[in-house]
Amino acid sequence: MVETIEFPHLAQKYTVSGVPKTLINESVSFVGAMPEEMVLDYIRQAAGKTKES
Amino acid sequence: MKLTNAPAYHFLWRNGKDKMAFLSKEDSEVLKTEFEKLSSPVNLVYFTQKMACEYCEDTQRILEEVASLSDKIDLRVYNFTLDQDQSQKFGIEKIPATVVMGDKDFGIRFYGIPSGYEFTSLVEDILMIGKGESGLTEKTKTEIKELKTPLHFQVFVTPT
Repeated sequence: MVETIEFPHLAQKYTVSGVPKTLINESVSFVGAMPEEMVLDYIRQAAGKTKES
Repeated sequence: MKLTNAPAYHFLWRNGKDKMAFLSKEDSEVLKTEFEKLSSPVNLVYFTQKMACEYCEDTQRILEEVASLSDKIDLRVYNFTLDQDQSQKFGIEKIPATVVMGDKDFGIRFYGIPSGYEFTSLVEDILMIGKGESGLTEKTKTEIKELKTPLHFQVFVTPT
C-alpha cells in the first residue's frame, strides 16, 4: 500500500490519476476494485503465463 | 465489521497535536471484539523518524492504539536512519512504513498513514494474518502457489 499524497514522486512515476491503482511488477496495472477472478487474470499476465481461455 | 469513526485526515487536523485518542471508544470496542478472533500473533514493525516526516508521529499513535487493543498484536518501532540494519532487513526505503507480519514476513508493507479507508485495510490485514486465512478461493490459492515468478504489488491509494 502506498499513500499517494505522501509519496507524490511515486504517483507521478507510475502516472496514478485514479485510485486505487494496482501495479504488478511495474508491468501490469489496473484501477479500481476488481473481482478476484480478474485480479488473477492480471497476475497471470504479470507472471508471463498465457491466459486461460 | 463497522467502524463509526475510523481515523481520517479531518480527524487528525481537528485534533492537532493534542493527546486525544484517534479511535473512539465505540470503535475500540468493535476492534477489541474483532481481535479476539486472532489465533496467532501479529507483529507490526514500524519505521519512523522525527524530522521531515509529516505523518510519522500520527501513524505511530494510530499503531500504538491498535496494538493496545489485543495481546496478540505486538508493535516494534525502529528509527529509519539509526536502525539501518532493520530498515535493510525489511527492505524499507521510505517512511512512514509499517510491516504487517506473523511469525513469517509475507511482504506486506504500508507506506504512509493508515487512516480513513486504509485504516480498515490495516485492520483487515491484521485479521487475515492472525487468523491465517486470506479469504481467497481454493482455485486462486492453488494457482498462486504454482507461480514461479516473484510478483511485486503496489497499490496506490488516497486516505479519504
